[in-house]
This record gives sequence, C-alpha cells and structure tokens, in this order.
Amino acid sequence: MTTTINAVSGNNLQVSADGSGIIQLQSNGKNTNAQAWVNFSGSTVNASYNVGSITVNGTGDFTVNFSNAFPDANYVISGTTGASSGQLACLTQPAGSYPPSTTACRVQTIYVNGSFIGPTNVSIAIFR
Amino acid sequence: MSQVIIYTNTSGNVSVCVPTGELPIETVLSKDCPSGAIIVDDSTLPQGTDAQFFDSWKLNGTTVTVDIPTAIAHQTKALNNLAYTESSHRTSKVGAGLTNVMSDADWATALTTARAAVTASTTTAQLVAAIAPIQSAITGNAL
Repeated sequence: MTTTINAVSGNNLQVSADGSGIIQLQSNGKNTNAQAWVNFSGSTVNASYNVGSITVNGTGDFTVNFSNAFPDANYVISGTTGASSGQLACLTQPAGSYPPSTTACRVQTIYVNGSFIGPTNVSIAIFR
Repeated sequence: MSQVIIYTNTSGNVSVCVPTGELPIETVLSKDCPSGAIIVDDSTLPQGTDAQFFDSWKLNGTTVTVDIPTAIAHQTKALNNLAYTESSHRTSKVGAGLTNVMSDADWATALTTARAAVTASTTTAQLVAAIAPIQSAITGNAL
C-alpha cells in the first residue's frame, strides 16, 4: 500500500511511503531524499537504511546490497572515506569493472597511490 | 558473536557478507550471495594478525585459513610500497638540506633484512614483525 501526502497542490511537494517502507520526499516528481544509506567500518555495519548487507570482497573493496531494489541503476552515489590525516584517500565506484545494478553497487576505498585502504570508516548515501 | 556469510569469490579469495539486520540472514544468503555460500559465526574467522591478511584468506570446506605464500606476496608488495615512498622522502630531505636519521647504508641493510624476514616467514605474526622495523624507521625519519 502506498500512502501519499500532498503538501502543496499540483504535487509540487509530495511525501509517500510504499509497502516496503521506503520514504520518498518528492519535489515536482523527483525524489530528493536518500533512498539508501549505510555507515560501516571494515566488516562492522554501524547504521543503515535500505541496505540489507555489505559484502567485503577484499581489502578496501565492498559491495553495498540494497534491501529493496531500485527501479534502475541511474542513481547517484555519494560518500566519504578516510584513514589517517595527511593520507589522501577516496571512495570510488569502479563502473568499468563493476557497473552498478538495481540491487547492489560496488565501491572501493583507495589511497592516492592506487593501493586499497584497509579497515576504515565508509559513509555512503544513494539518491534516485 | 554475529553470523556472517562467506564464500569463495571470482578472484579465488574469500568474500564476507555482513547482514545489517534489516533482513533475515537467510534472505541475505539467497538474495545477495552466490550458490555455495555458507553462514558461519564471525568468531570462526581468522583473528589477530591473521585478520590483517584478508586478501590471503582461503576457504576450505567451512574453515577459513590464511594462505602463507599468498600472504608473503602481499607483504612483499606492502614492503616495496613503503620502501618506494621512503626513498622519495629521503631524497627530498637531502635536497632540502636536511639529514636522514638513518644513513643510506643502514637503510639499505634494514630493507635487505626486512625482505629476508618476509620471505622466511611462516606465520602472519612473523610477517607483521618483519616490516615493523621499516615502519618504525619511516616514522622516525618524518619531518
């Protein structure tokens, strides 16, 4: 069952929840809130929303598995990671090797020299 | 103690799938993991220094162990990365008119000793200890 609240006439602002419990805050038909997010450190999941599991594929190599699939894979992945101060690190989505799917996305934590980072904190939010 | 799902991935290493708690682990097993994946207690996974060598884990039946030859290869690469970074750092210090804490000869000897120790290691504890002097030397030579 989908529950919808129209805050403004003409559907300029709409809040809805589908049967799976996913909340959608929409403006002019576009979702504006994160449809999934997770914070984890290595193999420890600290908090999540619409993420059923994290798969550790290797050092600094993770798959985020969604609890509920997205309608397509054209979602936005934003996030941060880091190790020690002074060590430049980044969170990447290696689309060439592992393109995102409707059910999961692969992310990697990498130092500026290209080597994978070991256990570190990762925060990811998905928008669609 | 928590339950996780493990399986051998396409790279031949071990993947560990950690449920967030949003779904039953059996659902995660069928939805997110390939056929043959198994549920285990995370306490049965390698601990201590063995846990640091995740990329050297191998799954035999229901047991995960560290493959030492693979771990040696990984530690050799880690040592080479340390050596490369510190070599550039040492050159920069000399160029800036600063003195390295360890002489070039002593640094070369330390690297040779560490490489030999890595190659001769039979445990992950030995692998960690083998490069510890290099890590300490790098820290001691920081600006």
